[in-house]
Amino acid sequence: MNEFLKEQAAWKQLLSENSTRRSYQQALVKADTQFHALLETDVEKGALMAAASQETGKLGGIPFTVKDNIAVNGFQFTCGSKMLEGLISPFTATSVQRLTDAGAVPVAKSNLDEFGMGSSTENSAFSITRNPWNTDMVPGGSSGGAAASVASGMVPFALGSDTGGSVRQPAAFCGVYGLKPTYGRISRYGLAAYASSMESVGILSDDLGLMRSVFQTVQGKDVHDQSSIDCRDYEYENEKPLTIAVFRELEGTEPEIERGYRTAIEAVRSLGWNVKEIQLPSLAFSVPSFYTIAMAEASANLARYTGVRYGYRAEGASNQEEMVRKTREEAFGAEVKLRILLGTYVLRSGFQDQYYLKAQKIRTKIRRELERLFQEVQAVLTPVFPVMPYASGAGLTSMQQKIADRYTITANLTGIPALSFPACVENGLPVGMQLMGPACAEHLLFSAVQKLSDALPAVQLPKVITPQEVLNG
Amino acid sequence: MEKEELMITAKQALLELNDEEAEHLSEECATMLEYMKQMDEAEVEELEPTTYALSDGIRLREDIPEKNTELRDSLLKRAGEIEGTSFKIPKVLP
Repeated sequence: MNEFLKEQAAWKQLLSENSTRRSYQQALVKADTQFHALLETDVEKGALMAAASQETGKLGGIPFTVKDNIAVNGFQFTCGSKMLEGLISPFTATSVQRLTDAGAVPVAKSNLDEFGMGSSTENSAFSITRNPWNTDMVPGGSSGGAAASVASGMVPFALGSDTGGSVRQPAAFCGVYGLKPTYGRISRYGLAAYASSMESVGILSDDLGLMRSVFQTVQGKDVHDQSSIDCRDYEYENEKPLTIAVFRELEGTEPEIERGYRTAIEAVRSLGWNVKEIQLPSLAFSVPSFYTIAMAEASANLARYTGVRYGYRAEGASNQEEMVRKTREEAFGAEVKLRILLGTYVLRSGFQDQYYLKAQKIRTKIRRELERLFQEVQAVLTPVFPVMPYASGAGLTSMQQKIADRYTITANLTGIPALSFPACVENGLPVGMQLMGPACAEHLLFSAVQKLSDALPAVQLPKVITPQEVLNG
Repeated sequence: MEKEELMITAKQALLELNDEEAEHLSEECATMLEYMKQMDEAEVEELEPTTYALSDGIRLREDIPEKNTELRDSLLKRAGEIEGTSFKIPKVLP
């Protein structure tokens, strides 16, 4: 039995009995005092959900964490916001339901930037998550809790969400794999809406084989999500060398990331694949276009939080409008307010054409440029983020964080899949790259990234929990 | 963004802002809007806007009512204030 199968067997054993589940619960709570990755931990509750399935297949008895903007019946559902503090979800997201139906066990809700808005998991109303590689550093975001839960060994995989890089960037900062699937390929039912036309539920794991199994389990059309799709897999000749597009130059990128990129390109060449140097001129407009659309959609989606039906309600208002205004003033954080204001502004009559319509047309331009590119190449290799994991509290400004999303947002604007992977370690911290492929090419990305990972130096995660150690007491 | 514009926008967004917040957000919004102006240089006049990156088109389903009192009661339990099966709010007219 190889190491991976041994570990799978140990997870299943750990989740199989009351006494070992209790030990696991204690180990999770103890480990999390270092990382603050989890907002609620309840192994027993998760095990009860999974027990209904009787499924003993690949995912049976495998634990996972769920980002706290994805609903799990009976678990809290805060979205990292004071607005939803104490809210218990009355239903389960389709992605989680499909996993529990397969026997996988949701053991905790993970921390995030409020409503998924941020790149460091410092914008949560509840705690600041720390990077398991170095607890002075941020884990990335907004799925920082998810990434830290995998990198620290708490769970072998996690569900997150990716609106502009929120799975891939924390995965890169924590040295694990992060998948943003093709838009619509994983149901968004039960994912709290932020920017509906661009976001996806995504998967983080330290094992590509496990990630693939999770993806196969959760993907596919869902009657609860109008935008969900059944994809016909992108066709390519598996035996032929791939052609990978790369950028000749990276602007405004830290030297460690630049070195990681060159290392990844060398790995591409070492596999006998072709490298095609490219330029994508319209990417210059991707960040302003992405944020215009994301903020416009956020302002509409977050209009539902009024304190009337659930969540926080301000005291002492003399009329309904005052209550709503005060509720939103008191319960939303600064970044959320900024995005709601800008989103409302770009949708205001008189400004719509200048901002929102223009951004949507740029989206078309980028989409067409990529469609042309994918006639010649099977995937595009880029860094995930232009900077290394940075110190908590002393890192990038809100504006710098947005500009730094330039590599990840292309996949969200165009709906294509992207898979991030650890390429190397620089100064004790992981460096992440990503492959973007045509729509419905996830299987190509899994296969290509596996080959690349085999050709790259192995990255050893700073795990503080292993199932074997918990079992051995 | 000028403070007056900010306050008009905040009113539309149903956000109350105190003076300190308004000053800070006014600066942040101005920086972001300035950045968004880069889009003016993109030549896109002839292009259609993209609203969804990938779409299967509109799908329709039968509109069949479901009675689920358990879910109804469970949802009502999460409200700040209820009366019977209604959400209770302060008076609507000032």
